[in-house]
Amino acid sequence: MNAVSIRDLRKEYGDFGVRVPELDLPKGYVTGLVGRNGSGKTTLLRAVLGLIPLSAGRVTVLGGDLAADPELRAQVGFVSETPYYLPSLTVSQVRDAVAPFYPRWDEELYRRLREELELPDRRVKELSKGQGKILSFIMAYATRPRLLILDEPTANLDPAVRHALMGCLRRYMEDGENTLLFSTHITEDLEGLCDYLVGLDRGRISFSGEKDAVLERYAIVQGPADLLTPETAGVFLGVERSAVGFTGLTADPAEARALFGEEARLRRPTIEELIIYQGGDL
Amino acid sequence: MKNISALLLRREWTRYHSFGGSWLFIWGIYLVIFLLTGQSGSFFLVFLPMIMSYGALVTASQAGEAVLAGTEDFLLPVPLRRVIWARYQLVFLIGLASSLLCIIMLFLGRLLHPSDSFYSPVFLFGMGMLTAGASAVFVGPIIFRWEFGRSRVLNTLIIGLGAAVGAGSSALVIIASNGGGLGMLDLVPLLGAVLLWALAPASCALAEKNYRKGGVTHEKKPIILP
Repeated sequence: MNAVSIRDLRKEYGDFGVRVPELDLPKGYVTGLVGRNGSGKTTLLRAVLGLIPLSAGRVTVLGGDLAADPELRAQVGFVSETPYYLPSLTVSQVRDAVAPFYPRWDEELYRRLREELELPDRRVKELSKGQGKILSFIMAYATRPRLLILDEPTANLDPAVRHALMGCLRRYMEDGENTLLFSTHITEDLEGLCDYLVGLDRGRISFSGEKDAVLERYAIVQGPADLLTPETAGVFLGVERSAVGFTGLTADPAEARALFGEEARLRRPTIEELIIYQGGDL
Repeated sequence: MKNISALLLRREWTRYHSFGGSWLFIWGIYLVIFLLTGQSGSFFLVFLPMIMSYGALVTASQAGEAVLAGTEDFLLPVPLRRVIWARYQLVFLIGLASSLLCIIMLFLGRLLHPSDSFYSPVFLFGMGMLTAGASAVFVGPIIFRWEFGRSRVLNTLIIGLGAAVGAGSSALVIIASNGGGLGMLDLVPLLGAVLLWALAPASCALAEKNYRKGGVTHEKKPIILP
């Protein structure tokens, strides 16, 4: 069963927009959403949550329509880049204003996380960026959602808090019934945690599937500068040249091997390299 | 789970209370001006319920960055109509409290300025509820459709009209002051307020139907790369 199903989604902004013909995120797994700044990750997450009106298409979350089903919304947690709570509320007031509406709210978990992650009882507008992110995370996590959607969850966090947060996410996934969807630029988080990868480039899905399968589909090619000609450059999605050589990403490792032979070195890309090179030449 | 309506109203109060310091400051300034100037400063008294209820509606709806406005409301596992209706209820209660306070201040003002002609408390109460109703019924659907950033011109226009109504009505009261007796003129604003508040459910339905449909500034000028 899929936690999220997207069909023919279009969100237009004049000449630009996000278009996703078909995307399914399986239940019980971690899906990482990656792409460069402005590629449409946040827009896609907001479309999944029903926070923005779509130009066309349909999004199904946990088998239903989030906008139409309030009970379904109780099963979804959202951590945005910055807190979406009223800036004048204190952390305790945020809890008072939100928690009573969630039947699965875990007060003990809330208190433990606040203590562990050292979140002070200040007004939202007085919190640092990292503390704001922690507040959003704790509020979403303590509702014990079935689907947790996070937008850049580890940005602005110090290493200790980031480690603690990633630990929470691992524990969250131990249930087997929970699903995690998160966008991030810190690809190190994805390497260790995610099962599926979805790449966005200029509002379009550039790759999607099981993480290892996606990474196997591509190859990083490194070789001496004289191998890179206008004819051979066509095999790359993006390439970086230097005085002595080049590094490029190809979606056709077999053809790259045939073109460059043993003179070039081919290897599996990292997620970061996928993001860097999929957008074009550097 | 406790009664949802009570919880929603409590949530609205918690939110309003959190930024109440700024609004208390406005209450204080307006009321002191009235007490110092007497009837000639009556505009401040009439305008108070509108500015207070406007604050309850607009400030509570504008959480964090513009792009996130309304996110908390929308994600709450409660029908959106009820969330919006709770805010309308808060506006009503704030308007009511402001109007009652105005009446208290009216009597206090009379003690300080006994030679001034006396405002009709019924007229004053009616005007207070009328202007508070205008905040909810007219500004509500606009603010929920476009959030504050994109609807600021319309909102400013409405609050300006409210100021004009407030000033006009205070002038009218001075002219038509009847020494505290109840005349037909005194009842007009009250009847207007009743009619306006009767439109609140329709306004709430309109607000829900158009909720976030107008997008926010960020969505109109997106950062999606060409």
